[in-house]
Amino acid sequence: MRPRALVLTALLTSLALAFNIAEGLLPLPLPGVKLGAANVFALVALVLMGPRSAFSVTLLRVLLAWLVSANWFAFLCSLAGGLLATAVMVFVYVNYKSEFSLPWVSVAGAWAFNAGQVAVVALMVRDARMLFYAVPLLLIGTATGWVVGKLAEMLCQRVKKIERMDYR
Amino acid sequence: MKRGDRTMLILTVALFAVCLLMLGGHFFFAERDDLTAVISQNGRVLRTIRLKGAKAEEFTVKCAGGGWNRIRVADGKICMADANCPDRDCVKRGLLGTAGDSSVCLPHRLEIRLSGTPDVDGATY
Repeated sequence: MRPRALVLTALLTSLALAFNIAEGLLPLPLPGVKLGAANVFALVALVLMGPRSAFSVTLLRVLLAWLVSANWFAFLCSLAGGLLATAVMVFVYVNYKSEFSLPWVSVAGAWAFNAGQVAVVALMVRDARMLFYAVPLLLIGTATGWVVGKLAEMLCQRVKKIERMDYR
Repeated sequence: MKRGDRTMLILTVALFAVCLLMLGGHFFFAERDDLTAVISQNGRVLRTIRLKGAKAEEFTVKCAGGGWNRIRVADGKICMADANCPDRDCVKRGLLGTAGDSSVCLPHRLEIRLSGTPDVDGATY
């Protein structure tokens, strides 16, 4: 790994973890609903460094958050959701970069996250009707996904600006 | 706006329409006499309670590993009153009173689901 990619991936992972934990302290309107600010950093990793880095940030963040919270169930939900979301975002971004702007790439990821999350819950309680919980999740997920994508877009522009500076 | 963005926007509008229809149906058909709470663990039904006119009661469901959930029934509604799981999402869900409502305790694989005539029973199974 090149030093730039290494440093940025580590930085983005730690930021994602911090935001993940901070978000967990906020009250949730419905179980399983939150902004998903940690995903901002996975998206930034995808734009600045590519798919491998995006998967690293997501996977490491989910694992580290699990170590902090010791919550198996949140871990399984975010693992399934996070990997699906990253896979979808990578697919859309790599193949159709010119046709989708970042907020909408993020919305596609949010839908994938909700699908993975609900699938895990339905499997764990062994009740297929749990899948209907996707209805409120998708409604809220679309909005939060867009906001997350917009934030990632703004952050990317700023990071790129910093990187153009000459430090010598 | 790019071409793909427009596609996503159309998909979003379609998704919202479907979701809002389902939510609307959920509220429109809710509140019937045969509202029943189904309490299940690991997909196995432990107990069903007819909520209409049910007498107030409180009971504890235990699960492997020392976990427990207190379930309270009162005024035709039901809730998880307390639990010793780490996240207590099921308790935060509050009172359940309309068909289709549910509260799930994932750590203890415990689920309360309210069903009534207009519920989707059978359609998915």
